Amino acid sequence: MPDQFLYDTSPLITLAVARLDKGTVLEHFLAFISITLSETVAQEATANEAYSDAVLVKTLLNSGAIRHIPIPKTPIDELLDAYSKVDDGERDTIRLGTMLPDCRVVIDDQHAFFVAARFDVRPIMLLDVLVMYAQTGGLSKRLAQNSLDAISKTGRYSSAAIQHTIYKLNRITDDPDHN
Amino acid sequence: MIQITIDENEPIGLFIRAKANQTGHSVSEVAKEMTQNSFDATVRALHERFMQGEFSQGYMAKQLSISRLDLIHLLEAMGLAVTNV
Repeated sequence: MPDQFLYDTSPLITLAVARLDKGTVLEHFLAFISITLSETVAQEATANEAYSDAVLVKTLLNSGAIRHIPIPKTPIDELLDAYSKVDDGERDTIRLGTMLPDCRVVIDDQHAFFVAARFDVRPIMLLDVLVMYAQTGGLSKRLAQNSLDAISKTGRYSSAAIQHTIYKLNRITDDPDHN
Repeated sequence: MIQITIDENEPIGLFIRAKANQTGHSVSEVAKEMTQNSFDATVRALHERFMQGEFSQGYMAKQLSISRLDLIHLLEAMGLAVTNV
């Protein structure tokens, strides 16, 4: 299983705003996973420091807890840029994903997800990152459920997507070592 | 508080004056209502297309000439879905 994730702006900001215990889900996640951003997403996510999520992301970027990488030239640039209804942050995340095969690309956007899939960067929704890590024991089922509860409270996902994730987490067999 | 000046001789100014006369509301009230309605209509029309997957969140932010971060917080403040998945 890959241990690195390349995040687009929206799921990153969701993690940075969802409160869990005395911190955010993003801070909890960083104990388990490595998060990489394209330079464009790093700029998008910190564009307005009036928001606490932007301040947190900037702090984590400055400390090196979150890595950000300049956008490379790639052989698929012309093809990717032709998708005009996907904007810079999403496109550059996909672009970087094609150069980092060990990273999974986390995108919560229908159109960008479709484009990412066509470029074989194995896109995954944030909610399914929770499920994936709970399935493999990288994240305890309890922490995954608590994280989902915190993410659900942000109101950023449809009820259908949340209920589906609850169903998927409930199907995971409890492992005493991880609960 | 954000204040704007509208030229009463421009079509929009003439419309506001006419509507204020007709409804009995002040020109400020009419102008504020028009601005609010126009803002709502613009954001909601784009949001509906975003929710249908016609374009991405970043593209929607670009159409509104604001950053994605600001769009995310704007949609949240308006009680609209931030993600379309």
